[in-house]
Amino acid sequence: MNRPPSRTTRRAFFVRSGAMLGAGVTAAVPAMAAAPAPSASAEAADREALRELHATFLRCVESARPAEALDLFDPHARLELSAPPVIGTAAIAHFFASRYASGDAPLRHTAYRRGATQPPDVIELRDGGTRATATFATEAELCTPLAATCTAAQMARLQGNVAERRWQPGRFDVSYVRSARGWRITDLRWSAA
Amino acid sequence: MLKRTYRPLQMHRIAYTDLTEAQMTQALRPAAAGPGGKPTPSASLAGKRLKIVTDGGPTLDYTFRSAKELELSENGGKAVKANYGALDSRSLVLVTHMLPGTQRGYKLVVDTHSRLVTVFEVYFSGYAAAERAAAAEAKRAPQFKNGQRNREAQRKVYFGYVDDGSPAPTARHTYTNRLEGKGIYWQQDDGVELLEFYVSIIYSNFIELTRFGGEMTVCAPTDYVMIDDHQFVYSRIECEFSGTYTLQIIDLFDLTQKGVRLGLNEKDELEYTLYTGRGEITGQIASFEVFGNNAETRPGPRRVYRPIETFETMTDEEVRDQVLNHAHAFGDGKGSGATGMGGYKSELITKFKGRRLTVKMESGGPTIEYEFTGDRSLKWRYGGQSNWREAWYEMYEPDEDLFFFAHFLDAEFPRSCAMVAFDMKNGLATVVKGTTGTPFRNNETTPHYYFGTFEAEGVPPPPTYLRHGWTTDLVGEAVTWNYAPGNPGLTSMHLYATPHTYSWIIFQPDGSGGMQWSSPGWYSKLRDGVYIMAWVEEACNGTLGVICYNQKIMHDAGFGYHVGPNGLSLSVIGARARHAGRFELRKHLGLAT
Repeated sequence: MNRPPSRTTRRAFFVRSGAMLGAGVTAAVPAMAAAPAPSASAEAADREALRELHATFLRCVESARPAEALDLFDPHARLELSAPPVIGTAAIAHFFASRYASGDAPLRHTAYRRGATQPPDVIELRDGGTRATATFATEAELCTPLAATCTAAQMARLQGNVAERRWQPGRFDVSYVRSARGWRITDLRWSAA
Repeated sequence: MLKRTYRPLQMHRIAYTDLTEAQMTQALRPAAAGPGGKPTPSASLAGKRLKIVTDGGPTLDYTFRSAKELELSENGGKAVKANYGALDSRSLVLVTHMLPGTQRGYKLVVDTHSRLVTVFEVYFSGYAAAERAAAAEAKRAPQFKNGQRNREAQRKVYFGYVDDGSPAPTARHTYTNRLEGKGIYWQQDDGVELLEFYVSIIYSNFIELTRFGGEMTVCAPTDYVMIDDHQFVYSRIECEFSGTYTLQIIDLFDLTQKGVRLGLNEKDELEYTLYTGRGEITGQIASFEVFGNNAETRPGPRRVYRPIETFETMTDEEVRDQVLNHAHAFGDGKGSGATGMGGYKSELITKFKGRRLTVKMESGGPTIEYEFTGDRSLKWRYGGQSNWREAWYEMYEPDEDLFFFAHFLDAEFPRSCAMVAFDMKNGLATVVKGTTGTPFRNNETTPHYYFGTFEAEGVPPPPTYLRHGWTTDLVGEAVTWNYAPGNPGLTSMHLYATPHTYSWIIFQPDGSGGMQWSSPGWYSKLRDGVYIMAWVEEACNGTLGVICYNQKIMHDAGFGYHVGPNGLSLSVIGARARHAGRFELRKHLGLAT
């Protein structure tokens, strides 16, 4: 598997700055904790890791290389991205390959951003730090690919045209599990507001 | 150096030689002598030195020994001697030269007042490697299957300035859309006459009026660079054809051009000439970017549409199998749906169910009797025959009491369809018979037009002399066609440049004109403001498109006829139009004004 895109983008700046993650996913960490206890420090590190993981997922989708996000998922993960849910990394891989890469998806996410009026994001650690959940308020750019096979459509696709492109407010609800390889996504779903 | 000589073929039908790199080296060898052509080369740079610094590109140290000889050091390297040619255009100097012993050289546009420079590094035998690399990066298949395309000029564009020791200027020449929508007739000093249309920001199309036997408008990927509000640099490569490179300075104040052509003609002979010309603006049509978008930046490399390279040519047997065993008209009676080019199809006309109709075409055309047995089913037979055939059809009403329907004809190879327009107000009818195959490719299509009359119950006898007929009304018109909701979605602009051809432009996501291609076109008139326009996407995907275009409602109703690896299809076209403008071309095309 290819490595996910390197963090050299505008988004990486937001991650490092702690001001915003991906589509504007902000930290739920107290900003003024002067001397965090070790446990608080560990929690902060976990939250940062989860934010980075989510940002990596967003980058993979935005760069039209969602298959490179497969390594972020638990083998039994569930994914629901404006389409019927798929379960397991094999199904997720097929979903990305057949519906995203080929342009056959009736609706495709192509970019994310934070809406100006959206509520703050929440990351909660559970089960003694072995699991976590997060809610990231995120607007998704939804694109309907050009399904036609005529010459005009072929030329339009070469230029990156789609049938329809619109921004839709919504949110990500994500669940994570800590594995031997670090945090992995067990459930990721985006729903329209 | 030879003047252009042509075969009596359209450019897209010429099998240009796929030359090896060694053959290219040999063919380009005379270019080391510098360009030919009628203009007296400029001596304005003779005796001068220019150090050109570019953004992200080479640093070029030039010493112009004379009006013909220069020395160039690239990036501080060893100086090499070359012959060059130059032309002045106000404060601009166009310089062109090759580097001896190589397949590359430079074209410079130097502004001696502002010190700004645009550098075009032009080279040959570079396409295949570049395309493979681009495809690997984008994780797509290369856009070519066979050959190397060594004859196709490649270009890299750099913006920069002349470093004369003083502070570097902060401005640069820029890419632009400020020529978009303009058409110019050019009379060159070598006798060549051209109509050029700048209706895209990455393509242009042109018609060489002095090229007999190749009168079709053709399209080429193009760069447009803005010097100032009236001076522009235009650079095109005749990709998919000879691969010839053309660069010219266009001055819109005095409508002059100063240019150079470099490439191999269809006989693989070198054409490397300077030229000048005088122009006449033929029109300015609309552009569709939002205001403030001046196209100064590009999101990535300029894309090239390569239909000749990617078109899948089928064998006789393959086409025979498809047209006999995999033929589907209008979803076999289940309807065409609203995808593809039928997103704005009009209401289906079913009121002829149970009625009969006979169309009688003239000049060798068929007589066909119809009985409409259902909303989408009919029976038909040729006049004088007894056996009825069944077929699926769809019918639309592009203008009041003017109907247009289509269906397959007999299951034979090659296979045909009939697209029938009949006018209940005057008894006139037109049949466009589409047939699979052309002399060049089996999976292209050929239209035959027939004008005549029809008979049906309740319709007065048709006129004796009046018929639908060919028209030049649409020559010069540019019309956008939005085939489905979305911006730009599936939207194309038709440019009806001549009575026999047209080109289409696909809008880019920001509304600017993008890729283009062209085809033969046929235009007939049914009523004032109501036309049938047909085209065949030759060397592209072979489709026959036939639309009845009503200028009163800016809408069409039509049909597409296509054969490919997925079968033979007859489908509906329905789109909404906007008038983008009109070029005044009639006098240049020898049409009555």
